[in-house]
Amino acid sequence: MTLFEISLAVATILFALSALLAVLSLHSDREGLYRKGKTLFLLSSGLYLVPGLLRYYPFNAANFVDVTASMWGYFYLLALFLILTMVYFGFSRWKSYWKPIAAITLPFISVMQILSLPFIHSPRRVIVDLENNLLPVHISVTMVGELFFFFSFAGSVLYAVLELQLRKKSSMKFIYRLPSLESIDKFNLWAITWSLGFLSAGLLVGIGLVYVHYGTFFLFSPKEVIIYVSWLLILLVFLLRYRRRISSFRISLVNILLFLAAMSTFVATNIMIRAGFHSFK
Amino acid sequence: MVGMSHKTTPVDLRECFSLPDDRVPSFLDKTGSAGIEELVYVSTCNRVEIYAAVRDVPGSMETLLGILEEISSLSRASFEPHIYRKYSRDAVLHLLKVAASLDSMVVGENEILSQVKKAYRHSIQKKRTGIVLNKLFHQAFRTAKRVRTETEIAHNPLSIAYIATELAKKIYDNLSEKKALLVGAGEMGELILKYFTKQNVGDVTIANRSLHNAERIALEINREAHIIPLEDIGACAAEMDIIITSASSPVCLLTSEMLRETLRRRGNQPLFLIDIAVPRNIDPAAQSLPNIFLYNVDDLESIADENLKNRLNEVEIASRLVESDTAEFMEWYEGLEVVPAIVRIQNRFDEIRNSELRRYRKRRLKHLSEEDFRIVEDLTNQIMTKTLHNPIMHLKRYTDGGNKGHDVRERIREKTRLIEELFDK
Repeated sequence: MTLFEISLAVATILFALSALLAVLSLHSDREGLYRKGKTLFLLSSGLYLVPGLLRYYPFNAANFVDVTASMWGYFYLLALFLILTMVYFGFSRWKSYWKPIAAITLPFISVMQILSLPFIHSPRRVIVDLENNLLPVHISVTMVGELFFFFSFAGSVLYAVLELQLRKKSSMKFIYRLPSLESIDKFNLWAITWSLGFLSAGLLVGIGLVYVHYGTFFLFSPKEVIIYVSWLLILLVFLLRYRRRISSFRISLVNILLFLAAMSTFVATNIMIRAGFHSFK
Repeated sequence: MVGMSHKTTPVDLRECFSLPDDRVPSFLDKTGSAGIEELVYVSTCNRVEIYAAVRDVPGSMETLLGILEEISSLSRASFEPHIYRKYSRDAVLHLLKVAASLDSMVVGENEILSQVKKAYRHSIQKKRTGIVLNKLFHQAFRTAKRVRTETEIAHNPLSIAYIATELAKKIYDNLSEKKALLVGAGEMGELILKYFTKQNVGDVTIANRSLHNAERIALEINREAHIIPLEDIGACAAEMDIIITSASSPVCLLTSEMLRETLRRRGNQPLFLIDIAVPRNIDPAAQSLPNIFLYNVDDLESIADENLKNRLNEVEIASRLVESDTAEFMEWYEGLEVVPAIVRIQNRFDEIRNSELRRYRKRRLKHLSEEDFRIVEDLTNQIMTKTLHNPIMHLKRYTDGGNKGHDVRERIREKTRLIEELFDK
């Protein structure tokens, strides 16, 4: 086994453990489990940088583009984005909600890390047949938009769980572990607003790039369609949240379903579709 | 420790031993003059307990019982069957359980810790605590904090009014920005509103048939409360975030239709309704409406029952924490017993060594330079330390391990005394 494989395996296992502890700490509300989970999260996140650094070495533009365009690189960057955002959450104004958010986010990241494992040596790459300095901007801004969409999903799960618990009128054991409905609702609106903003910006840059290089705004590739559909779904959730025509509980259910639909389509198409623009060929 | 609690003694007997705050200092002085080295007097509505650290345990217990006889004006025979006496580890374990609210009538209640702290403060002010009780009570406060943070014992409120405010906090982010409406002048409704006022709820409105009664409630709870006639509740409901109903009315005061309209006007913001009236003031069908969180008195009581079950489940975990902290304290305490003896033996040897060195320095070692004499000093010190090493280690070993019974500890004391006597002048 190479150093890359060993470090990736250790980081993935430790991260999975931290995800398990995050879920258990929310379930049991044991301070000790929470502290251990958070420490393990920070440790495994630090360790997760090692395989990335090994893959991106030597640090030059050609290698950067090559690794980023690979299937493993794609999953790695997505997971890393989520990890960095979780680290940011740990110190931001939302830090008091880190525990419930981590209980949803860390298992998700862990699944993403595990999903990437079969592709560590995959030769499949996104063949970028255009060269433009705005391309990294387009990719990273779009990814940040998707990241915020994920956080609106996590917040929606929390909202739905808390409202169901409040309506159950049973013990307050679980209710105590979650933030208030109103604060989750504010968080969800914040997340979906940023998601829409970033994804719109990413799309606009993408459209501009396609127009400059191909003289058209749309190439009708399957992944482009999926991105546009995602954007429309996010716009829908944003409008629902902003206009408050239906209850926050129902909006949260819609948000959860749309995210799951968008995400599973996204992952599945990344793996299965080989043809066309944006695809891993 | 000697004491009585709701578990062993009826209230009419307990109250005879309960001293008002202004009499506690004189009681502490009295026990001090009676030769009890350290003492803390804990008195709550459920217990009266005296914690003392003494050298002569049987004699001090007699003295304490005499003082109790005096303050209660009762014969010893009338209260002795009701009291419990605990010594050493049992007494430590008991205090830690009391402070952690594991021995309370309502397990996990908040009051007891502040009462124990108050009792300790009284003793501190009268300088009636020393190394043992200071360490013990600080340990008790630490243990109580651990039990609160490391178990869920305090996470399950039992009072209906408190549950209502806690539920509101799980719906709204900041109660100080919210508006509450009390409908009717029922006792429980008033109590719930009082709790909300304590949580700084932003704005209070009281609706009642009799405006005079509404004004009385406003005077008692919140002088800035708005008062409206009962008929206006439908109109102002949309502006409210929390509505507490406790009016006596044969018909529903807030129907599903009214609440649906209220929600529409509120722009789908959540609305928290507490209906504690019987018959109910709010149409029960309204609870199926989105964004309506409706709780009646049965709902709140069933939450209280569930919370109680959860608290009792946590007792086992909390007891383990208390046991481990007790063991830690006893280890410190038992080590403490031989420390004075060790210090005395070391001092005695050092005294002999220094006096002999001084004598020799004047006569047979006067030719030595300062530096050489320091070497001799170091040498004698090394010989003394090595000679004493084994006896001291044996003394320490006697006390290691904790959890020793009364007899074993008595034997340790006897051996310590014997070793001390061997080296005494």
